Amino acid sequence: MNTNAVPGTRETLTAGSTAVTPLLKVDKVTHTYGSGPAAHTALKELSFEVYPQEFVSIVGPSGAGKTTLLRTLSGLLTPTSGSVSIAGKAVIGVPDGMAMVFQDYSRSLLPWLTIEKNVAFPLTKDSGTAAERKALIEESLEAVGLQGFNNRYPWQLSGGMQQRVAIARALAYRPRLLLMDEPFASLDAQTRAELEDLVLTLRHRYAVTVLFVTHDIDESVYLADRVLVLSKAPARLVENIEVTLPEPRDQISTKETETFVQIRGHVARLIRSGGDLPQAS
Amino acid sequence: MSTTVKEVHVKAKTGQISGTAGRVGSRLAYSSGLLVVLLLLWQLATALNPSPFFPTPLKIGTHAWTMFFSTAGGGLATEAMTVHTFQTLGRVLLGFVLGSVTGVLVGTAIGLYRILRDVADPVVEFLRSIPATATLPLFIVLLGGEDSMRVAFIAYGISWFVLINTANGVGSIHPTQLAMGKAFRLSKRRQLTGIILPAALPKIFAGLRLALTGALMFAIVSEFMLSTNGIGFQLIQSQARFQILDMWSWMLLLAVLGLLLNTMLEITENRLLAWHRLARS
Amino acid sequence: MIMSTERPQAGTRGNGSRGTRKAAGRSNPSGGTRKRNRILAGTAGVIGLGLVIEVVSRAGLVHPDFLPPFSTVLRESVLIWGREDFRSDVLSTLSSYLLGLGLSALIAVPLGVLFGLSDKAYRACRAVVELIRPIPPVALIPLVVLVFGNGLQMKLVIVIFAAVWPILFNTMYGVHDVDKQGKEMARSFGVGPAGVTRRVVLPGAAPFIATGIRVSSSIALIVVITVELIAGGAEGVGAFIARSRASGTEVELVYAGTLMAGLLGLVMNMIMNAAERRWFAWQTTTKGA
Repeated sequence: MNTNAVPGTRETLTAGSTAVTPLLKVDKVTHTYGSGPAAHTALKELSFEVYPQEFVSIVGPSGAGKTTLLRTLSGLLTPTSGSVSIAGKAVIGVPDGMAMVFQDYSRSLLPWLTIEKNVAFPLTKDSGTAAERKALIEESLEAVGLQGFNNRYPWQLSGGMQQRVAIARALAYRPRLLLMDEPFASLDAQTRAELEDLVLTLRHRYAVTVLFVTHDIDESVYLADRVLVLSKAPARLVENIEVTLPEPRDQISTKETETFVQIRGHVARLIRSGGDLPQAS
Repeated sequence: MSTTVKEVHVKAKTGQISGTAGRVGSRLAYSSGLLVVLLLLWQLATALNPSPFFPTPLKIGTHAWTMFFSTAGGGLATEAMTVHTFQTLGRVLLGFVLGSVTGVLVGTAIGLYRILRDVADPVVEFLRSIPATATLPLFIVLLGGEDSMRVAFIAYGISWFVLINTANGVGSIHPTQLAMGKAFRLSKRRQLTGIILPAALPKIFAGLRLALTGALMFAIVSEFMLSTNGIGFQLIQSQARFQILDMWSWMLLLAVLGLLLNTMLEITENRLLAWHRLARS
Repeated sequence: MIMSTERPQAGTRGNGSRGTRKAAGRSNPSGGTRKRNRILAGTAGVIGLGLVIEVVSRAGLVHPDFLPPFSTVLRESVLIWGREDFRSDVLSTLSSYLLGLGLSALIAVPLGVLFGLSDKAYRACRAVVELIRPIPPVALIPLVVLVFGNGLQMKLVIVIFAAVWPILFNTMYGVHDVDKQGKEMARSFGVGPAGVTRRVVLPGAAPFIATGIRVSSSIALIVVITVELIAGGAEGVGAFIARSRASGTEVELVYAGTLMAGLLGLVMNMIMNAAERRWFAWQTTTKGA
């Protein structure tokens, strides 16, 4: 994919690091729903890679097939053609070591379980002994700032806190790859900013690889090392943009930097044009 | 992360439990108060217009008391009462359990697999349209006049309520809830017991409530035909002998039995589904 | 009092499978083929079940005296309409059912409106319904037969006793639940209490009343048939089935009669559902949003 015009492309870096195997490799994935005249192609020959410990966000116009892409990556949907592999192994069914945070926290958390049991829900004997699992749960709850909330129920918490529980559940699962499907889309701006910073902190603390799907351009740039811009359906990869913002990021000062403003504007133009970008200089 | 604490609506856990019991308790008090008023009215009406068919409730009460509870040799209740009550109760419970288990199993399968639902839909739609009691002669033809026939008839009659409600509950589980289970690689069994069945439980209980009332009704109807014991048999017997007070006494007993069974199920439901009621309020 | 616990909810169909289909249909955009597949699958299900019964009977797994071949039952179900006694039985069942249901509505709707308008009466009536609901109405059959004999009057008394509650309860609930804003709006335009009831409360409660009538409809039918089955010497489809069984030699007639009772139930269900959908479809859409 072309990486023109944007400051700080990692052309050199990715080309030079062929020795590093990508954690996630998406190769020419196409998915078509239905057949005949009613067929709808959601993804078209989509290819990209995510390297270990990277934070990659995917942004695209609404209806761009972002959800289809995530369902494909998480093995919930088998693509019509093309392949997805994680750490070199082809994804058939739901891959091991992958956790997901859904947009709809009120649905993804189970209302009949307490916070603690929700976090414990995906853990099995493979995650360790009962004591180890308990420690894992406590640590994850602490990491998202919810220690002491063990015996509450999801519906007793605010939306932001519910999404924190969902994040804790994903962390306790100790994923290699964390998929986040527009996780903050239903939250208010204040809570959203708090949770964005939380995710950045956790990303470093747990050295986890994150693939973050969003339709919010600011969010995609603010969080990520790399932004993948999708076209409208059938979704193709329009551009792969390296985000060279300094760490640690800050909601105010980072967003004031020229680089941020520039990248954001570029992404916004790409999305507005639906992927057919008039060549920017 | 201290900001999170202020977002919580604190609901003490003990408050929820006593609230459940208190709700049932206060409603019982209200209902029994009302019952007294109704009984007084009934007493007044029957005392002013004496009729051989409609004795005063006072007469019915004293008659029922001697019939059911005045034992010569001690013991809580007369044999006449315990034998027939337990015969009926046994049929009701056995039929209820068998029919409910079948209904939940088939309903879950139909709710989960579209192809099964499509194949079964017209058959289910037709069979459940047959007024259940119309099938009693068929059950007699197929299974004779024994107790197995009665239990099978009750189970058949009530299974539709449970089946339809279960299929509806399972079929309307939110896709995110199902996707969550898959994304965390839960075993099929855990997806079923951990997500699908609990999520469908409110609907299943709606079916069970109908089923329990139905089970008592079908048991009585089945005892009207070719039976030698049970409350239904006693009703028919006292009718044939023109023992009006006996008949009223058995009807009274039946009403108490129905109320007791219903209250027991309601308490179970309140326990199991506290999360559902509270989550919605 | 079966089925009367259905929570009063206007516009929700008793038909459970409908909602599930909607949810399942989402992943497949081509609705036309979906519908065709469904019809094909449903037909396969019916034929499959018929074949199984046919084979079980013909192979003698169950003696044909107990389980006649499906083809025989089907043929008998057509021939049965040639019998005058069956036709008059159907007529008797239908008339008791319709009269019973109509009278129940006539009693329950005005009472429901009256009770629903007052908070106290609403609460008291709910408690009474809760008390009476678990009592099987069929327990009354022996007594009512003694009092009224085994004619139409007896049937109607029992049917009304069973069918009145769901209508009453739903009407009450609907009236009680009518949007306060609507009432206040009407009052602010100078509409009197009677006008508010007629022009705001009743239309608002109508879908709930319809739901109550639909629930009562299946109760009424089941009770009518039960009464006919139990009360010796009565007329009706239930009595027809009971007579055929008692004769011992006409098993096909028992099956055919039961099948026709099912057809009766199915047709009534369909009419009720269609009527509710046609007149109160707006309610489902507004509630669903």
